[in-house]
This record gives sequence, C-alpha cells and structure tokens, in this order.
Amino acid sequence: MENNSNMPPKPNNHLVLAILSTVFCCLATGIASIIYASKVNEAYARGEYEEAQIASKNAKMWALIGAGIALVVWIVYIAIFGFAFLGAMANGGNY
Amino acid sequence: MEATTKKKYLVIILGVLSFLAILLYFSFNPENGLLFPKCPFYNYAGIYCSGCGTQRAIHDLLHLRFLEAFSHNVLLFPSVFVILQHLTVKSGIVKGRSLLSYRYTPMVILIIVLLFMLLRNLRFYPFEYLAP
Repeated sequence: MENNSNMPPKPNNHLVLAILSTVFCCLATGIASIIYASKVNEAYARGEYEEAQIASKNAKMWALIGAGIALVVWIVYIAIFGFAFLGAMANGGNY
Repeated sequence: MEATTKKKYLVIILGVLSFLAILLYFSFNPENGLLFPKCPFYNYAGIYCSGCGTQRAIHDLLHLRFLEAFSHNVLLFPSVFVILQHLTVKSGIVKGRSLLSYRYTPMVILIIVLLFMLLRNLRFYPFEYLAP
C-alpha cells in the first residue's frame, strides 16, 4: 500500500454486509461475499486496482443477494404463517 | 439528487421493517410455534450453519437474557461488536482503526465462520454447547 502513492483509495470490500449476511441468515452467499472481500484486499495489496474493484462489486452483489432472498422468504413466511398463527390465537386462545 | 432520495426511501423502508421485526421478535419466542421460518439449511440438510440460533438469540437479547442469547449463537456478540466498532470509527465517534480495515480480516473471519460451523455440528463435549 505504501509503495503506491498514486493508487486510488481501496475499493470498499463490504465486509459489514458480508458479516451481517453470514451471521444473520445466509451461509452460502455470506461466505462468497467474505471471499470476495478478501480478494479485494489481496488484489489491492498487489496493486491491481481494476481487479479489486471487480471483487468489490462481487462482494456487494453476493451479500445483497443473500439479504434479498432472506428478506423475501422471511416476509412471505411471516405473511402466510403469521396470519394463520394470529387467527389460531384469536380463535383458540392458546396455541 | 435522484440517488439520494432513493436512498432515503430505502432507509425509511428498512427502518420501518426492522422496527416491525423487533416488535415481532420481542413479542413471540421463536423457540415455540411456527411463526418464524426455520433455517432451510438445517431443515433440509440437518446441519447447523453459522446463522442458526440467531432468531432465538435476538428474542433473548431483546428480553435482556444475555446468557441464553449467547448459548443460541456465540458468534452474534463478536459480530455485533466488530460492526459497531467499525461504524463508530467510520463516523468519527471513536478514534482508532476499524478492525475490519486490516488486510487479513476477511480471511480470519472466513476461518472463524467455517470452524464455528464445523465445531457446532459435533455432538459431544465440549462442542455441544456451540449448537443452537
């Protein structure tokens, strides 16, 4: 990093998104995101800025795919079972 | 201008959703009942993944039962700590360097996650405590 004074700043490796994705929901996409985050750092350390940028985009993409799928599944699940659950509670009192 | 308004809406939507989610996780215990989705990974493969137990942990956390939350998912606390540290440093509240900014942080995290996943699936002492 120090020997490249004319390098642009390191692209965001989206590690926060990757961690959130891994611990809160989706193992596979989260791990893909962490691997790309690592790739961002390595490529940047080697001085390959373009590659770091591509890896950054991939890291973000995988984290968001995981989060998006999880969000949709979660909302659909709550919408279907949640109403059944509330209905059962309203009818029976105990579930 | 366009992008910032889009971002604003996204933040508002996510804020409302997370508020509703917190309310839901506070009111109902994921441990009993069918209200919350089970981890598909566990459902179909029978393997605990790194995120298993997080819903129960959130419920316990909202009721300030830290020990139980800890027993459901050990990784929840360190990950929340690391993210909070990163955000506070980035926003200038705390001085120092973000733990996430080091070159080998992603690799270390990857190794921790994979090890955690492996160990929590071992059904004998002392690793059985890592299971959700």
